[in-house]
Amino acid sequence: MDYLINLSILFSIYGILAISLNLLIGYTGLVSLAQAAFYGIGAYAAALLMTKAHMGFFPAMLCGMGLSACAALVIGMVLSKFRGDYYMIASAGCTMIVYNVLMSWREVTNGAIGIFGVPRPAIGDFVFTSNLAFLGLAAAFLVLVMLAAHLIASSSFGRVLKTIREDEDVARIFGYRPLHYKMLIFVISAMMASMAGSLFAVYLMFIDPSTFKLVENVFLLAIIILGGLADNRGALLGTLILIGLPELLRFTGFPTEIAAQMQKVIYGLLLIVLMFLRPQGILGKFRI
Amino acid sequence: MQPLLQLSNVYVEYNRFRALCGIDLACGEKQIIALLGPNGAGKSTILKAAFGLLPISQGTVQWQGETVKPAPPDMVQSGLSFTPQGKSVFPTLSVKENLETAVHFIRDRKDIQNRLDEVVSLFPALEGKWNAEAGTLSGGQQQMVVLARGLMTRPRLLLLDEPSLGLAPKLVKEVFLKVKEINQRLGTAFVIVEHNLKSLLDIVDHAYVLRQGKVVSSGPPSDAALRETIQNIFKL
Repeated sequence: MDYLINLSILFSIYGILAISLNLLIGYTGLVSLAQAAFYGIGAYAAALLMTKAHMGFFPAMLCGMGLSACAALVIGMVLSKFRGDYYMIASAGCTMIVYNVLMSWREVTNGAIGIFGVPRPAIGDFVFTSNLAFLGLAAAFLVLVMLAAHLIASSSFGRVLKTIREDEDVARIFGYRPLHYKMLIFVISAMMASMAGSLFAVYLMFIDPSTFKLVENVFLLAIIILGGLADNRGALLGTLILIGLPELLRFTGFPTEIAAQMQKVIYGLLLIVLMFLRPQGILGKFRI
Repeated sequence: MQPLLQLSNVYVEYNRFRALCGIDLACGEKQIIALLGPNGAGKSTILKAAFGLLPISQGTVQWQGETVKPAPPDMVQSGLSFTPQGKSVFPTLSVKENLETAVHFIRDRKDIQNRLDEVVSLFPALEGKWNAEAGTLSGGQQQMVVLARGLMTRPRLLLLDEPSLGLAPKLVKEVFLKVKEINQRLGTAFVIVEHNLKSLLDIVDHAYVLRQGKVVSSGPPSDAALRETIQNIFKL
């Protein structure tokens, strides 16, 4: 049972990440590989503020979101100079920079050793020590993010994002200022990813930079491409499949080392098959 | 009478290359103007400069009698629309969403609905396709969506950049007839950039012929000198 609860917590955290990335890639057409950077900023902000400044989880998480929003403003401005493949490469560079800062700024981040003993969140006297209670918290945040993403997608703001995705130049002709919209969604998405990072830090009670590598972005990209771009349910379905699938392999009887490798092979195969059969993903409405 | 749009001695440069060299052009209320000329003559550049998509290095643009520094958001709200080359619909958005994108600055839903109804009365063929993805429509229908989208802001002047691009000759004629109908019913003025001459000259009030960034001839379509220039340039 605890195993299932743990899986559900991971699903909630990755669900938030996938939805946040889908707002960028699926709805706005910004193929960003910078999401792991904000995920990392959120995680480290919560871990550091809670262990060193003894701040509560919720204010620490909000500080992390604020910090991510500021970082997103700067990164977003830089990225706005690029389009298409160049945008993707430049955004990947941002993740690499943040990863290297986390690795090298040892006095603050403790480098590769990471930060231990991050406390679990608490509301008053109630501490989310049990995983079941923590699942409730993570799921509540997932629902919040889903609602926000649904509101964005179905609003006139969401429609503008889609027009920018389809043809930014034509959008400009109608008097839109695409830069403003792209910056706003970039910041919103970064804050969501940061929230997921804070939850991840207090869930594991330990973090190190290895979680926030470039490859994490590739995993997130695989999730939303598999589930379907420009569809929030698609992002969740992709999360369910790619979080659940490796767990199923545990029961195949293969030794762990082989099962771990098989997992990557299956990811790759799934994406290749999908590109042939349904390039927009299972529930997707848009293809890159 | 004061022209609606007037360009005086306009120069535009792309990376030191002079695309427009001293253009003088005027479009009056309810007029249909054609800009003709070979590739690279600067026809589309004129539209983009007047709308604010390209910076003007010299000269002035007057809109509704006032000298302006054109910028798309202001121009759209003050009654000038621009439809870019080809079938520039947003392909995965529905027809209705495509039309609504043009009027994002209007908050009143009733006003938007009135405008949608108005546009449907001009393009009855779109009525049944309201929720269809614009990219799934035929080429001619997509061009109608583009025209309808341009009209959602109720412009006094619509700049049309090669509406015939990629359309069969029969459909081109249909598009031009629609332009004429809109002009007569709503009083919208048009400046149309085109290669396809014959059917366009039937509906315009005035034509400008361009070559290498300069106006080489202008006049009403019946003007003998204009016709001769056109014949020389296009070897008709």
